[in-house]
Amino acid sequence: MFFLKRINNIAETVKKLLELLSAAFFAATLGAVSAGAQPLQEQAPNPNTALLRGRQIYEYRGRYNGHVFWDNPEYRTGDVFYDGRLYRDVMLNVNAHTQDLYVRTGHNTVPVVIYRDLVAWFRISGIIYVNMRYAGHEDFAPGFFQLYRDDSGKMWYRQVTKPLRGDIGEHNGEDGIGYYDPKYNPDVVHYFQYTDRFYSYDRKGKLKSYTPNRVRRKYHPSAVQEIPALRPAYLAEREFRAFESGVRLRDNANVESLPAGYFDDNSSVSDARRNMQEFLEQERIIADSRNKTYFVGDPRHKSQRGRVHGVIRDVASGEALSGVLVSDESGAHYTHTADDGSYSLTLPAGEGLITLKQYSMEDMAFHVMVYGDGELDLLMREKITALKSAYVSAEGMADHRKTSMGVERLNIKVLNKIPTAFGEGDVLKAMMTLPGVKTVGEASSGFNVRGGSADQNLILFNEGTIYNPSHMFGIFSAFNPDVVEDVELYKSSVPVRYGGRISSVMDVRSKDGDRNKVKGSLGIGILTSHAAIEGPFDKEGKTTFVLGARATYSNWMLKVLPKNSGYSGGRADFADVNASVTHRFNDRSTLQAYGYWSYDKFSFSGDTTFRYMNINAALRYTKKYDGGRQMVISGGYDQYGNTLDSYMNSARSFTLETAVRQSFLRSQFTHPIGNHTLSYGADAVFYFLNPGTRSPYGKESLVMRKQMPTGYGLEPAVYAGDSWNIAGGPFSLDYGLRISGFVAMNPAKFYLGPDLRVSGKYTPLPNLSFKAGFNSMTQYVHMISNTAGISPMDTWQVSTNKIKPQRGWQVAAGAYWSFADAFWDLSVEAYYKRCLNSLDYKSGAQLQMNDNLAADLVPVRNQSYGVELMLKKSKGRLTGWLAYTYSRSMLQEMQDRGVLTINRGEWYNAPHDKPHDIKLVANYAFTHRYSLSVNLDYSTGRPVTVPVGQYYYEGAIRLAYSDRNSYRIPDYFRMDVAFNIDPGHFLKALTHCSCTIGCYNVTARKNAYSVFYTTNGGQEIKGYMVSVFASPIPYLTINLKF
Amino acid sequence: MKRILYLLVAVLATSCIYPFDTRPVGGDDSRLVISGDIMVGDICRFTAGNVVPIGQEDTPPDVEMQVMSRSGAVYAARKMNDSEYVVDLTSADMNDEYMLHVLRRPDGREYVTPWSRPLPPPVISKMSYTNDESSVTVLVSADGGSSQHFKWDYEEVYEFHAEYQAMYLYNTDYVPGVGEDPEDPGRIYIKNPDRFKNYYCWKYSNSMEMGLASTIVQTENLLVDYPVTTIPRNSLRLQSLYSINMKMRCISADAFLFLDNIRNNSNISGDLFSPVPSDVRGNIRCVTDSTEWVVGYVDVCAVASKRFFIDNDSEKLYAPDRRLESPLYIPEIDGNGVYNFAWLYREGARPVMLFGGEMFPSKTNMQWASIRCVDCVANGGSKKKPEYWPNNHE
Repeated sequence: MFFLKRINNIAETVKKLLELLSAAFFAATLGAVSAGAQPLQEQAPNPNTALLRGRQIYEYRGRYNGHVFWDNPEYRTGDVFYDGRLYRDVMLNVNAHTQDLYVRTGHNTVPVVIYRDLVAWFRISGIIYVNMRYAGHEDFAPGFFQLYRDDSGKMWYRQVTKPLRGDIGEHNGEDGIGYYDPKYNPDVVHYFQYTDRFYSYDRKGKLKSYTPNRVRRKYHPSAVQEIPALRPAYLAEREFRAFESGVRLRDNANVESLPAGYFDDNSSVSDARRNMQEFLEQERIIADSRNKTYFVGDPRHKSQRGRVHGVIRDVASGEALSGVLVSDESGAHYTHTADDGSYSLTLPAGEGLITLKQYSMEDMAFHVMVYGDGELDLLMREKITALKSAYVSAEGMADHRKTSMGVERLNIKVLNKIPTAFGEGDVLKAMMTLPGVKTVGEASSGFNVRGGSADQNLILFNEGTIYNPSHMFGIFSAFNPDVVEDVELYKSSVPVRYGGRISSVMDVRSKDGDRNKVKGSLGIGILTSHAAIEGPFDKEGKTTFVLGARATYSNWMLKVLPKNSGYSGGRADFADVNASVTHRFNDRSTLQAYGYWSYDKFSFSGDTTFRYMNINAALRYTKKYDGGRQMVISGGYDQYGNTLDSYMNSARSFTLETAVRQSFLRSQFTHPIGNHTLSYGADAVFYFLNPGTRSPYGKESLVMRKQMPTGYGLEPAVYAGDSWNIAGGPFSLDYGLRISGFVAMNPAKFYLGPDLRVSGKYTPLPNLSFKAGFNSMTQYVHMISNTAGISPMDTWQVSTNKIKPQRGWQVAAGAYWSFADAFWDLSVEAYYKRCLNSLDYKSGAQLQMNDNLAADLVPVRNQSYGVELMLKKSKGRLTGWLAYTYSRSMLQEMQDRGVLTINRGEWYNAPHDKPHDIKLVANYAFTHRYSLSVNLDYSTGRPVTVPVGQYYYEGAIRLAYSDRNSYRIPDYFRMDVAFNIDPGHFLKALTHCSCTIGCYNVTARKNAYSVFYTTNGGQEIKGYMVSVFASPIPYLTINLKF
Repeated sequence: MKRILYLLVAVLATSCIYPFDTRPVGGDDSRLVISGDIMVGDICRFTAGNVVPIGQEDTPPDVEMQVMSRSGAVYAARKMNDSEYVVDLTSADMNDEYMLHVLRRPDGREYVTPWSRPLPPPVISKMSYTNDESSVTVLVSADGGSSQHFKWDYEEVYEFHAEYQAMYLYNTDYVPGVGEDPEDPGRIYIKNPDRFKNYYCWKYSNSMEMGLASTIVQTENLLVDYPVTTIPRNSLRLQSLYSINMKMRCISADAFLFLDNIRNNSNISGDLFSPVPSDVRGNIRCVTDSTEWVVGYVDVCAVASKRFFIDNDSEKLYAPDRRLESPLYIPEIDGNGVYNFAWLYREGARPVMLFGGEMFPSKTNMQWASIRCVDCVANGGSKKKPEYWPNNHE
């Protein structure tokens, strides 16, 4: 109804305008619109007027064609009659290529393109330009016509066009219409400039970019002026002739008017054209949405403020976008989209602007008129330059708006650029380039966050819990880079909805699946290959799927190794499969199903085989209600199992199996109220853990089958939290309480764990913020291991009456500063952390198949503290970050066992304690296709227990060891380089190929993974160092997208 | 294609173990170390020492040791050298309880082990071997009865022979002269009166590493074909006749834990899943200071032994490495115009055999070889033949 009414208004206005124009044209001289010809309404331009709600201009120019304006690139003062109103003294210019009117209110303001169909006429330097179509003459070409009258009084309509392509040979030539271009490329159909680059599309759909330097050098404005291109008289003559007979128009006068049938699906080059069409369609959608004023709420029931909620999607794929910063113009009101792209933002009633920001996506702004609560779904599109220059997330400014701290977020595009050992994008390895995230050694499973142990990280993959996140003993992560969308790591401020681990939460999300078309990717590396396919099941994109798989072929390589290599006869297999289906019942209800399976099997010694497997299945239902309220219900089943087959001696051959199984149910509600966003919900996780089953392997085995008692436990939790933007000012506060319990069932025991989460933020300046927070966490499941990292021989135990829950708290504070137009971000965070009831082990502890395991475990307290400095550059050719961390992580046995107490009860180094840690990740983009990545990693050597004495026992030399973890292995240093070649924008191409050539450990430093000493058969003491990647590892990775 | 393959393989096999010469410093550990078991019915050997910094020589403590029985018998240890003590328990009662008492003389500190009754010895049911193309592994099968933990050591004796039998000996009194008749060997070589004298030898050795096994995961306390030692097929052990004497006993679970731990600590593989090394306390306590940590676990046990032979004449297991065979030398005329017999002799060569199978030696038809190929004693052997040795080689 609104639009009908608007159309009627326009028709009425047109009628009146025609009357005015008639009077003006025929009664006045050229360019002298009578001052008495005032429109019915007049309005001075101001930043909030509808006149300036045009879409953003792509500042562009032909590479060889000079500027695109009608006669002069300078804006001149004039008047415009737009949408029924006359606006005076605005800066105007006309794009002769697109026939758009550009408007700006002053020399320092950003010009916009106003909606051409609403422009009736405008006047620049006394010349009147008329939109003939607005006036009802549909047989005129779109655009604006100058009005002239010759000496005889005859009226002429003159339209100057600057086509960038044509097929009649009368333009772009020295003798033709248009302007001279010595290097005219007839295939180029579209030029534009975006940010600091110039682009062109040719008719084959190929997008080319030009470096600014080259453009500036070759096409300096002075050079442009020298081109004998602009010959108005000649143009006028031709144009006059063209229109002399009245209103007949030339065909193909406008570059946007592609030949008929150009987008014909039946065409032999329809793929390319479809791609082009999609691109243009996306442009149109975005432009339309930007050009619009969105009305939120019911105008009949106005309120002081309104809750705007909806979903942010990618215009290309239709996928929901998480982590988008949604804010008003001032930044006082803001929120971030959830994993499903939903947001809810309270805005004051009235006219306003909603801005959207997310790394790799183009910043967007939308005009809104808020009357009250309402729904508003918005679109974003990917930055073209994000392929390279947006290497690091543009989260700098967003960090100032988040109350949470210690949150690291990486997009798959970012982590794919970080060199890894065998070239495959790796979620875990990328995370380890961030401050505060460490590992005990390269190629070791698991990671350590701010002094916590590897089992204190909750690793979620689409709701499911991953207990072993690595393949091939830690060389690869368990996540297929083809299906991962992004990953978030909470090091400090853990949202209240998470619980169960005391150190960190890593949430890995996979893609939802493209809603528009089926597409896929394929990656080929030295050791692994991975593939994924995604797309809609139906035309509407209601149901989408993602299917990914990955496998290694290292096994056959091991088979061909020479016998003296030491690996002959070894095996190393792994594979994983991801599957997800997303069904949207409507705009408000979504059901997602996830499945994940991973499998590892390896054997190097020929008498022992390790296997482990992750299985996850989950359902997630999301329902949105009015007022931005949202409900998320999820449930699923997770399983992690490992198996060890030992068959060195047939009589003693055995199989040892352990397993963690859990089923879970989670509910989460989000409820915005005023400046508050409440979130509350309840969780329940039911554990059934098999600490060990030993069974004979083979018929000759004498091994006795033994089954350890299954550990059962129920971990229910309820939580409530609030995100409070205090009075819309610089202060905001997140606080919440999570109360978890644990019911151990064998034997019965109940534990209660209230966890408090508080974090606050003060933002005195838009680019400066200070944060502080306190978190407490409780953990009821424990990894039983006496190796430095996660190994396939580890088992998991639930808390019992003898094994108490681990409890920890952390207090942290930080300062964040963005400078140089947010090109640079500097942050410093400090933390202090304490944990109780972490587990260490008595000397000689038997951790497997131990009926009295608790007697071999030693509860320890953990104290960690540190400072993390990070300098990040998010924009420009050079992107990346430099991080320095000073941190300590110490343990102390909580019991007094006399002489047996570990290190006499004194504090001792945790196995992952590495005080100094420097990381540099940098990417330099030569062009938008070619870039160089460099990765530097230095850290203090990890603590180890080494022999400091010797003695003879039973005739052989034996080793006497130092206090636990009192020595360190040599410091670690590694440099990796990679050269990345990204696909060209060949829209015609069916596949896009990217390639990375790199070298891991380019300096060939023999970094120590471990140092150990043996007595060489009891004769002499020899020291050895294990270096996992002791030489440079060149790699080549090819990724195809189709 | 194959080269590309190996390149890929080389990429994978980049993980390596390198020597690491840095010795940790700063250790001030000087704990007393007592090793040995109270083996009832046998001769027991104990050692006393100290933990010392790596690379340093130990100065063994001056101690007195005695094994005491609950019934009051005291078996004093006889000091064999600075660190070794021997106690004769051949007449001790299997049904009694025993402990070890140690007195460290300089400070008068006393150390004791808990009273304990000897565990019955296992029954060694079988010894055998298995082989592949590169090695022979000696296996043992035993029944521990009610005991689940085994400890053993062994003595090896093997007979081997020199590579060549010396038919002639060099006459060390011979003085070569210029212009001699090369066909006159009479003064150069002497017929060897006993060509087997240095041909057959025996070697004795003891196990360097204690053997440990446990049947705790098994349905029965049986060791079945458990590997004891592995001998390369080119080892002299297999050349003629090899003998191994297993001395096995059952030990307590605590003793096993202790011994297994120190063995593991000394043989850490350093791989990605190696456990963190740790120290386990033994069963020796200082009477006056319970916090003093003494390294050692003295168990009370009884020994079962079994001897096993591997005869290469019948089994044909020996596969000598031809690359290690000594070259043969033929005397030549040196720069002074004389044959270099004396030089060969000084360099450790000895006459071996006649070249070309001729009946009588001459200056030019005698081949020489390294002494270790001619004299088994020079090759580390002993002419002391065990009494039980089943052949008549001398």
